[in-house]
Amino acid sequence: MAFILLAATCAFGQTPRRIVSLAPSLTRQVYDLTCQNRLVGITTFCPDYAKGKQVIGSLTLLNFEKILTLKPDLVLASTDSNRKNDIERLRRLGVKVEVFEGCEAFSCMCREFRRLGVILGRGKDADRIVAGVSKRISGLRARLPAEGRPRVFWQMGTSPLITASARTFTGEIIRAAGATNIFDSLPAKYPRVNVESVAAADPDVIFVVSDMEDLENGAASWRTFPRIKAVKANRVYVMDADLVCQPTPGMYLKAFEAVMEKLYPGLS
Amino acid sequence: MNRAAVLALLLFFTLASVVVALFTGGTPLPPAETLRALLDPSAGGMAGTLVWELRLPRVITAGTVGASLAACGVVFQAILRNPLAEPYTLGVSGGGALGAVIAILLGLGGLPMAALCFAGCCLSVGVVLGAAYARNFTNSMLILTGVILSFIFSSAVMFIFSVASSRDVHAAILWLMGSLSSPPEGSGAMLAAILPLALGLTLFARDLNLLSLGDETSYHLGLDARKAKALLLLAASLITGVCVAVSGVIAFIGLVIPHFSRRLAGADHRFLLPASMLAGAGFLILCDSLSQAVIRPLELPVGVITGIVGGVFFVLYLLRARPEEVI
Repeated sequence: MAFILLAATCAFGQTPRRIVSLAPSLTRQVYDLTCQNRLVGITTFCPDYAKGKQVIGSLTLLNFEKILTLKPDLVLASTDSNRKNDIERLRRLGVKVEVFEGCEAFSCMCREFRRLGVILGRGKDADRIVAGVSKRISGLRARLPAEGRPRVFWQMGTSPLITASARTFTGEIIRAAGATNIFDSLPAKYPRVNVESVAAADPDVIFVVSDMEDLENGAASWRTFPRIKAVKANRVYVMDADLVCQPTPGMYLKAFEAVMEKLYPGLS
Repeated sequence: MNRAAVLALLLFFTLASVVVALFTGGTPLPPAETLRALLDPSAGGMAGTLVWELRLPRVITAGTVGASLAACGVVFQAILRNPLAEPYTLGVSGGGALGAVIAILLGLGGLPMAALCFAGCCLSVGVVLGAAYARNFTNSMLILTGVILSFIFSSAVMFIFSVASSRDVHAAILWLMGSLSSPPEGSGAMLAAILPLALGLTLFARDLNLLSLGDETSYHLGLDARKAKALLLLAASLITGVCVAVSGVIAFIGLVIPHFSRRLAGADHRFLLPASMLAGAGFLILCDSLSQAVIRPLELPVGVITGIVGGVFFVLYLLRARPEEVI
C-alpha cells in the first residue's frame, strides 16, 4: 500500500522539493505537514523551531537574490503578509509562487491548509489533521455550560487600546467558546477603542494579548478600574501573542483551547 | 580644479559605483563568476540571472532616480533661492505618500499603486502652483503653500494610520522610507520617460542662472520669470512624482547633492546640473548597494542609508566650508 502511495506521488512528478516560505504562518503549516526537510528558506519572525533555515528577508523587504540562489521550485506567499509588488516581481523572475489567503474564518484556514497539503503531496495528512482539529473543537463545544454567556473584552494592543471585532478569527473563537465579544459589532477588524467604552460595557472577562516578556504589565493597568466586573472577579487573563496571532488550523485549536480553559476553568 | 576635470571625476565616481553595485548585491557571489556573467550575457546560469535580471535593472533604477532627484534639487534651490529647498518642498512627497497609503489600504500594488501615488503628487503640485500663480509666483508663497500642504497631507496619512491595520501601516511606513527593492511593473517605462526630461533641464541652465539672481534682476535681464518658474517647477515636480511612485520617498539626495556639487563645480548651472546628476546617480547606486550588504540577508530601506550617510557627510562638509560657499 505504501509503495502504491509512493508511486502515485512520484507519478505526479511535481511535488515541490525546494520550498521557500514568505510568511511565518505558512512556515508553521509546512512543519505541521512534516515537510520541513523540503523547506529551504524562511523570513524573519518565523517560529523558533525553524531556526537554522536560511533567512530570505523580512516580510516587507525580501532579498530576491537570496531567494533565487536557493533555487526554489515553489515559493509560498500569503495575501496577509506579502506585498503584491513582491509576488509579481518573483513571478516575472520565473519563480513559481503559490499565494494563500490570509484567513479570518476557521473554514477558510482549513481550506487553505488542505490546499497546501495537496500541493506538497500530503493531502491525506492535511485532511487527517483538519478532521482531528474539528473533532477536538466540537468535543469541547459539546461540554459548554447550557447557560450564561460570559461577556468578553479582547485586548490586542495596550497603547493605543486595540480590540478585535466579529470579523476576525479571534472574534470567531470567542463566539465558538460560547462567549460574547463586547465589541462584536464594530465595522473595523481591529478597531481602536476608548477605555471608557470598555468600562461602560462592563465585561465579565478581559483577555490581554501580550508578548511573553511583558506578561505582568499587560494586565496590571486594569487594576486601576476595580469597578469593572472582570477586575473585581480577578478575571483579567494574559494571552501569549504567539498563541493567538497565527491563522492556521493547529494554532486556531490552541487558541480556542486556551480561551476555553480561561473561560470555564476545569472544563477540560 | 577646472570644471571639465570635475565632471570627469564625477563620471568616474558614477561608473565606479556601478561596478561596486554589480559586484556586491544582496547575496555573496564570487567576483570571478560575476565578471564571467557580465562578459557573456548569453551564458545564463545563476550568476547571469542575478547580474542581468536583478542587479543591473536595480542599478539603472537607482542611477536614474538619483540623477533625477539631484537635478530637481538644483532646480528648486535655484528658483526658490533657499538652501533648504529640495524636490519635496512643494509637497510632492506628501501628496505621493497619501496616494500610496490609500493604495496600500485598498490592497492595490504594482502599476495601480504607482498611478495613485503619481496622482497624489500631481494634486499637490497643482494646488501649490495654482495658489502661487494667483499671487504672482513669489517664492514665499510657493514655499509656504508647499509646507502647509505637506502638513495637511501628512495629517491625512496619520489619520489613515490610526484607523488602518498594523500590517498596512508597517507596509506604508517602509514604503515611505523609500526602497529600490521591488519597483512596480512598468517603472522601467516611467523612468525612461523622465530621463530625457531630467537631462532636458540642462537646456534651461542659463534661465536658472538668471532666476537664481532673483525675479526682478532676471526680469531686467530679459527673462519672463513667472513663465520660466512655472514651467521649470512643473517639470521638476513631475520628474520627482515619478521617482516617488517608483521608489517611495528617498530622503536627502535632492537636498544634499546640489550643495555638494556646487562646491565642486561652482554655481553656474551649465556645469552644476550635469555634475549634480552624476553625483546623485553615483551616490544612490552606492547607498542602495550598501543597504543590501550591511545586514545580509536582510535588507534596509535605502532611505535609511541615504539619510545617515548623507547626513553625516553633509555636516562635515558644512563645518569645513567657508560661510560664503554655503549658497
